[in-house]
Amino acid sequence: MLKVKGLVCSYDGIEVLHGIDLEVHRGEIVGVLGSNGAGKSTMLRAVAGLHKPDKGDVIFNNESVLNLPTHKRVERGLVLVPENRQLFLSMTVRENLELGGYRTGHHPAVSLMEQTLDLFPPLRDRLNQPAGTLSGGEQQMLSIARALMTNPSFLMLDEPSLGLAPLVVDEIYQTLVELSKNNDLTLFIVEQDSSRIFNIAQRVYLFETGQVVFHGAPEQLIQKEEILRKAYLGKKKGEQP
Amino acid sequence: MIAEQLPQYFVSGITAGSIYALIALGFCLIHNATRIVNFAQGEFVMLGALTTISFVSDLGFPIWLGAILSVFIVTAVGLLLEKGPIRHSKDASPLTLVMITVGASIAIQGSGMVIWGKDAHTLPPIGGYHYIRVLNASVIPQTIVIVAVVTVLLLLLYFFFHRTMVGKAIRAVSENSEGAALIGIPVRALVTASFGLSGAIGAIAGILVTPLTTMSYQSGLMLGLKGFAAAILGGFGSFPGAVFGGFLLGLMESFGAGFVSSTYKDAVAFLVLLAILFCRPQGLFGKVQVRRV
Amino acid sequence: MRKLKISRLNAFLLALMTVSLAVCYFFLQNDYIFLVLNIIALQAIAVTGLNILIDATGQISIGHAAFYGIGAYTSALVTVHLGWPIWAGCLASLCLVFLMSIILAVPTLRLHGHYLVMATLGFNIIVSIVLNQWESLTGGPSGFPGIPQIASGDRNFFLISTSTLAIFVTMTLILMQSKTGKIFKAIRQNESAIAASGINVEMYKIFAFVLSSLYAGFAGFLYAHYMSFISPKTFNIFRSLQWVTMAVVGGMGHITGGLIGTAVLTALPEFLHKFDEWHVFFYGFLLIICLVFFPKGLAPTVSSVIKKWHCSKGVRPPTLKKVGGQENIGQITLLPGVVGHADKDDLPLRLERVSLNFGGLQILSCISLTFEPGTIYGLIGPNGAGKTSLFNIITGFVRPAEGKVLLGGHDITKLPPYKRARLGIARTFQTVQIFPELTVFEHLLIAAGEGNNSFQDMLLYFFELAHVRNTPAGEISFFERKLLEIARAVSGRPRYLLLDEPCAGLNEAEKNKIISCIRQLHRHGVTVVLADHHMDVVMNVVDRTVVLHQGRILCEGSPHEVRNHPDVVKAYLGQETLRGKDLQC
Repeated sequence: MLKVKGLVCSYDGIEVLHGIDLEVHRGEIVGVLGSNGAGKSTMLRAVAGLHKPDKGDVIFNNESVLNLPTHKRVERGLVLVPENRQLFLSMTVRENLELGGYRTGHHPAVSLMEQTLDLFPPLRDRLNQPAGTLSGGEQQMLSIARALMTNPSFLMLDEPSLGLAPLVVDEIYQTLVELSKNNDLTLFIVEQDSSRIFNIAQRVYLFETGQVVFHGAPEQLIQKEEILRKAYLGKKKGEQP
Repeated sequence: MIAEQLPQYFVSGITAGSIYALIALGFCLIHNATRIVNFAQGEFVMLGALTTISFVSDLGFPIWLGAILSVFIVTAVGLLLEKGPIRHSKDASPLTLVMITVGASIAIQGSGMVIWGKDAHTLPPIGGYHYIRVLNASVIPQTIVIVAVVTVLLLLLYFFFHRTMVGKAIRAVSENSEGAALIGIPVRALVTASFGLSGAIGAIAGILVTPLTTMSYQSGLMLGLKGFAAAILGGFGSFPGAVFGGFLLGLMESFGAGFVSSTYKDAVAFLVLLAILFCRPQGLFGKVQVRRV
Repeated sequence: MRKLKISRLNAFLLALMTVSLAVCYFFLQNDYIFLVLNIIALQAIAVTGLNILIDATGQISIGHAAFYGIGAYTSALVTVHLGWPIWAGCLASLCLVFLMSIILAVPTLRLHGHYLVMATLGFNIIVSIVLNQWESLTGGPSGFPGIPQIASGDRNFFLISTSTLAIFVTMTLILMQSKTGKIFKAIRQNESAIAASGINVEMYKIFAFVLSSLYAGFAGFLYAHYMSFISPKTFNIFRSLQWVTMAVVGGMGHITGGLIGTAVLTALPEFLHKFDEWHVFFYGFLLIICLVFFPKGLAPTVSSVIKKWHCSKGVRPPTLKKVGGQENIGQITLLPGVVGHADKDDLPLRLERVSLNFGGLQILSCISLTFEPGTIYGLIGPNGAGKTSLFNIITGFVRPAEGKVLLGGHDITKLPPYKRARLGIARTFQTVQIFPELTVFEHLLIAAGEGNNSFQDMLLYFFELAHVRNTPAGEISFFERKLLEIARAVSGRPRYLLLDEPCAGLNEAEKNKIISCIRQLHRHGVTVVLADHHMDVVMNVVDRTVVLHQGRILCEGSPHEVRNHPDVVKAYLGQETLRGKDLQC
């Protein structure tokens, strides 16, 4: 469904991605791991159209989207939930959600809004509050809910667990997995908390300083050199210190 | 005796203020969408007025038709400004873009000078010249027309920005353009639309005010800058702030001219501007900017 | 005195100009041309001042003609009405200009954004209105005649105007190449980084603005005593916009470019006299074309075209790829005790009940920490835990909602970043902050307080950056930039060095190099606080660890204690939420 070929990106004259190749197939949940500065966010932003690559191609459903602006990629079902959420803080929760439905019609289908609110009950209580007054977890939920209102077929998430309490992250991940199963939603998630990814992903990519150094099933990664994993992933679930 | 003058100052302040409110709104719209100050805003006002004058005086069109055509033309100029130099500028830093609008302002003034000459022109006021009493003040009907039209326009704009998807999308773009793009909102197109809308609003302001003050190729600059001062006063970036700032500035100017000195009436707006920048740069309703590293 | 360095292009242009002017003087008979040249010279002085402002602050003034006017009218008034000699008029002009520019600059330059532009605009309009309306003082729109002349005739004044211009331009070039000039460039490129290096940015900006106003004021004084008659029209906002156009067309911040821009744009209307109607339009159109296609202006565009032409003939590396990590860990060590102050008698750094929120989100709650000199600290926590925010509070980039920051018992919570840097609290940033146009050496030069070249060179050798000493920082590799940022922070001889994710984006060898640098800096008296989100990376180097989780301190202790602490284990294994009910301390 998504193919990235030879992606090269730079910031301020410094190359941060040195030729990334990856693939995500329909219906999969794929994770991207790696330490800060490895280029994971840059890769997602390039796929979403927020950052222009120096070289390479981004192919979505057999169509190159490289020269399409972000909103056109959203039209095709390729949607990113960014790292810092990018909510419209002074607008209400309801308005944020409605705007998610902008491209699908002038007034979003009520049923779609209802479905989305069912997935994230805390938002229902706060429909008329400005998004800026929500807690961290609720803002993350709103960000995801808003993205879901665009009716995506391919959802990318950049560090959804950032700054959130573990229980809240549990809820969010549960919802995501349900969506993946029931709605045929493909998920592509960048995470720093590797245990989350190991539990739900069929495949993972490991980034190190701008390159893919491993990809395959999570179990394979776990078995690989302990030093490599420790150096870049920190602890994994159940490991003794 | 002063008590007799008060209503007069008040009414003239509200009238001028409603014009400033429109112009300030135009600045606010573009600033929110693009983070730049559009120095050509005043020229939209001038163009609206002078093209209407040409339609009415030279071509004999009825005023409503001349006004509508002018609004279309100035909207097109606004769209052209964004689609042309602004969008194609190699360097998109705010300073460069602001300077481009300065250049546009000069260029439009220059065209105005060529097309309409250096003289001042005017439109006949709607409803004629005989005074009527309103609130103990003597006004010509044009004054009422101005306040009425501006009020209706502001209500329409409020409805647009709060009840329609496109209006909400423009607010979203001004709040967070990246977030808007990520959910499928066509940011570029809406930015262009903001310029066009700003042009339309400016043109309407120009058409309304000309019968009271006359208009020449240079008048746009002063009006634009006063509208700008009003926007800063209200709090740059806040739509209600822009409107409030406009009315407040109009009143301050009017009372200042009445009680202090009328020779320096024009200076009031800029003294207010400096005072706001020195003491409370975020204006009356703006939020204090927090710097994040 | 240091030799004045002028690029070849600049030298060529200046020589060309001098020769043309000399030719004009000796061979031309038409006095009118001298009038034009004199006006060009005076405007060029003002535009040069404007370029200083742009170069130093990256902001522009569209009201500088106001100072031109104040300079002219002040001197006219005192020489005509009070009978003062011309030099006294000059002094009076400069004093008033100085006063007005300070009043304008101090409140507006500490704000970010376009406030200076707006303020100068408003100021110019007010001055114009006053000049027009205060007829008893200024003569109003009909003007002010009878000003004593400084030289008789256009040709005689020509000598004065050109030599004055030459003096001003030379002064400016010297300024731009001095340490102050480098600081100006740094401010324009990266304000946060320069503030973190202990430079009082506000002061420099105000200095640049006042200086540029004095240039315009002096030009105004000369103008009044040349023309003998002045009127408000000359000093209105159109004049200010003309000057800005000249600066933009020539190259913003580029001194020689400004001279060319002024000459071309002053002379052009003279040639276009037939098209008088169109000259306003032409100005605007030219400004737009220049900004859209040549935003850097003519002079820099021409010089970069020449550079590219030179390079296509020689060998030149393309955009630098990431270079592999250095193999040899630096053998050169600094003299003991020469870097920091961290003996146990030095001042501890303490945070008391610090809280921070932003838009409804609680970023830090109730943080109380003490950093003792002589230790290496690790600040650990996942992304979003608040590590960078904590650094921002310690270094003064963000004010806490509650709580205090104390250095040795003194409350520094309200001090701006540059003052804290001078007190010995230095930092690096999560994304590397450098000045792309300044050389590696210049980075260290401007960050150090006292001029001590040998220390900076020692730092270059220590961080193995000596081979790129004179290379602009925009052209060095990512790893070298990271080292440079640490070197810059150290060049101020700090007590505390806060490193924000220094290893992010580096490979194994490079990380080891950084860690070895940290160890050595510690041995030489710097107390290091290292922030990172990966425990394992920093556990080997720190003496004490502080774990941050969701804006609170989870626990503190030695690396071994922290690693085995039940709360930490639980937090990282995600079995229990630690969101406490009480937000009180």
